[in-house]
Amino acid sequence: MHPRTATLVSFSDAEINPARSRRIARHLQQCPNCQAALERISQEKRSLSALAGAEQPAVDPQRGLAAVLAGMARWREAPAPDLRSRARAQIEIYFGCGAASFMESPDIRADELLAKTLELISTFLGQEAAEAVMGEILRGLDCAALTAEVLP
Amino acid sequence: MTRTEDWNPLESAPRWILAVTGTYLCLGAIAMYVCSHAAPAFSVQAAPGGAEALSVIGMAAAQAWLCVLALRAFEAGAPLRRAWLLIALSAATHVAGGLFSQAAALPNSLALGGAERIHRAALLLSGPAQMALLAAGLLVALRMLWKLGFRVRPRATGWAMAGILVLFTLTRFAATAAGQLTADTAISLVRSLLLCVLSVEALFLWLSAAGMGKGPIAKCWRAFAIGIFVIGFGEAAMWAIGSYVPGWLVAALEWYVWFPAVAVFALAPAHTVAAVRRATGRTSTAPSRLPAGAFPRTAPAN
Repeated sequence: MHPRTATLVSFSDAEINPARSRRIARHLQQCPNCQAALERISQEKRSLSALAGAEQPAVDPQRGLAAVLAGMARWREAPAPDLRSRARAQIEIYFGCGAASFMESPDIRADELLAKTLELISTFLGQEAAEAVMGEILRGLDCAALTAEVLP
Repeated sequence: MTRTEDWNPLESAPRWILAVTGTYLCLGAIAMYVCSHAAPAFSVQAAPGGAEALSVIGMAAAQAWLCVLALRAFEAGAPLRRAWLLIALSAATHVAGGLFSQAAALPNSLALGGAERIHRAALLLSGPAQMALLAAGLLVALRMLWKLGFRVRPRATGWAMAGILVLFTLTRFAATAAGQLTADTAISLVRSLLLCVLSVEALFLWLSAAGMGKGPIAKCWRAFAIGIFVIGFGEAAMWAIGSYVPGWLVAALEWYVWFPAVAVFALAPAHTVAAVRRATGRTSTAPSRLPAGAFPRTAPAN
């Protein structure tokens, strides 16, 4: 019977009792699959040790903050087509196509459209519904990437 | 769009109301056909009364309950909370008026304080009181719609429709005012004036909501307009045919004006409640790593 990965990890760390360790060693002599698995575990441990020892790059907090703010400003000004289409879709669901066309003038910014959408929803359905709709609009948007792309 | 798997009966409330109204009207049409063709002698005995009145009271109670559910979606101070409160009170006065009307018809109503007084209270509650509260609630909603930009100027056909209703109401007003002025006629006069106000509000509501599209919020405010038009045109039609058809038939038809009107009024909060459930019933997946302040927080427009 092949030992589980967790057992192999403990074996490589010498964290199991001697009798069981001897049994696993005997099995490893006869089983090439378990030998390969143990080799992979050893390699990963070496990689992690190398990373832990590496020197981290220094971060300038002032420069980073300025870059984040500039990036956010760019993001707000950008057309953000995905965000616009999501806001429009929510307006169409709850009000209708007429209301969506009425609100979405060609020069409206994405964040303005989103604010108007939330104002309409909170006025007619309440704040809780507006928050849920906001969650729905932002669901799956790569917010981490939006913030990461503005970091130096 | 991901939705929670739980079946929510409130989300299907509009469909239930439409189904009940459709069934009621079909059964009523069959009953009226049987009364007028198969058993004319019976029809005189079977003049409308308790069952029809109770149906209208039941639907008004459903409207009041749905209005309270809609009201609970709004935080204190939100303008539409005020509107829903007034509309809920309007529905509640309708229920109270209907119950008083039934109490006045009870054999022991004299012991309850006099049939006439109870009947007058019923007229007052289900007439001017209900309409005044509804008019006030719809005015708040209309102002919000206008403030948010959904202001549409009526065209000639719209003005003509509202004009017909106002003209009919004023004609009836003049006919009533020409006679001896009693408490009942005074109540009827006030009710007529309020119906004029409601007709004009309904015209503007209809136009504002029709411009939005076919979403549940647009349907909600359009439903109020339809309900007012049903009452206005229904009463005009009853008045117009009153001289040509038997009295029992007019009395029977009145219920088939009131029931759909109240059902449409119930449909309005049902659409809002369904929309709220639809929005809040979703699995919440708002991203947690969104930069703080990336979006402006909305505040209720005042």
